[in-house]
Amino acid sequence: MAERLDDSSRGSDNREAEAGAAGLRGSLDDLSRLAMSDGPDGLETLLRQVAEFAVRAIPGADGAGLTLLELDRPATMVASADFVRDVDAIQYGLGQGPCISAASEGRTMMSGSLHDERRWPRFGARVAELGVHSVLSLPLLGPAGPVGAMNVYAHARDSFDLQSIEIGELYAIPAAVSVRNAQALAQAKRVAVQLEAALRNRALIDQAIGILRSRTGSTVEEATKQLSADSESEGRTLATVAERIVSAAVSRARSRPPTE
Amino acid sequence: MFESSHFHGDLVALTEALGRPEIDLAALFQSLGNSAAVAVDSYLGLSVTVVTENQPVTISRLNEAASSADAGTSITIPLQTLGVPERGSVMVFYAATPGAFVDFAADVQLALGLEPGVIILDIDLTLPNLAGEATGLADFSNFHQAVGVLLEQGNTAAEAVAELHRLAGVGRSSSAVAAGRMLAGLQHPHPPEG
Repeated sequence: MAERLDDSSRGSDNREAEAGAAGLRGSLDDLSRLAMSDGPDGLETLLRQVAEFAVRAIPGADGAGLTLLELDRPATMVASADFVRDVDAIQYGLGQGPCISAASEGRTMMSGSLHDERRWPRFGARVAELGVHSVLSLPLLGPAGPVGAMNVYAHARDSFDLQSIEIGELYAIPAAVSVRNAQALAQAKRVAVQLEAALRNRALIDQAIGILRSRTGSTVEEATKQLSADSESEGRTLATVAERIVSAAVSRARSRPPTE
Repeated sequence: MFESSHFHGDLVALTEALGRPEIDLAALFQSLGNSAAVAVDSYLGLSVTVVTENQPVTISRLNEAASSADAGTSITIPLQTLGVPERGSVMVFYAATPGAFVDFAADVQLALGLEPGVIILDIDLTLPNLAGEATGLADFSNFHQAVGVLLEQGNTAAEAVAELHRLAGVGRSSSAVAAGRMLAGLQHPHPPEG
């Protein structure tokens, strides 16, 4: 896959290779220390950091974006810089571009002259007007196929070469694993938090049912029906209505005189 | 493998309790299962247990592969690391191939900044019996209904819980069983005090 290098360029190429390897090592180390953000699930922050580390790892890169495909949610897209966001918006608006091709075909896409790129003519012409002329798109692979793609962009023409591809593909492997694991972890947090909230509300609802049953001698079904009717007539959720009933009972208990 | 006959109804009831129309617990569980299957080779399913007032409620969801495979490995994640404060609450993922969770465990530990030993591998290798099941909800419901009865009788919340535990001790049973007995004895209306 790699082209042979002639002897005259081998010295400077070795220095470039060392610099590239150092950038990759640093980015891989940083990748291993990623922490979940304090956002709702940390996923976007994590993905943005993966994109930022890619810029440091891949020689020639000015910016990077990452797209994570999800079956039942809109795709998550992040960018290391504003211009990347603009370029990716063009790509997804047109429905053509290197990231789409990389994600759908599961292979790396590269171009050093987007202005006259025949594979994505409309995309290439539009982003060239923004001053972006080189792109390297790497699929992020899961066991069953691509789970997304990472786009690396540069303003200059011919910014990426075979070394960029090799380093990018090396970086994409642990990046894809981290991304898949982070996605699962973010969803695990969502499930845990929402289930706990549902049970907390359910406890209030059951306590309200118990209060109504004690007060009126009704069955579970009758008390539930009353709660639902109150919820509908008041335009409030079941849990809100239940909380009102429970709070009133708690207040009465607190205000009773102490027993001797 | 089959789901329990009440499974979807239980998830619908819990979703309704949330009171947020944009959130569907069944869909959240499905999404998590899909993502876990992508992240972990030979993934079989998961169970989530939330323990409140010593009343555990467990939601389990297995995929089709679990009908013909045993759990060769698992990963247990305390829910306190995922933002749920209740002690003893856990999320367990199962897979068929031993070692399938090693990378996932390492990433979770690093991502959440956890000390070694918080995430535990292979402590639970018993798959749930059904493809979809919610257990503990009936006891949970009885317990909290009984708390409501005791609140209506003038007890504070803490006194109500303590009374149920006392009754459980006297009857040498669980507080959920004691709650069930109390509810079965409800016959006469109790007008509100004051």
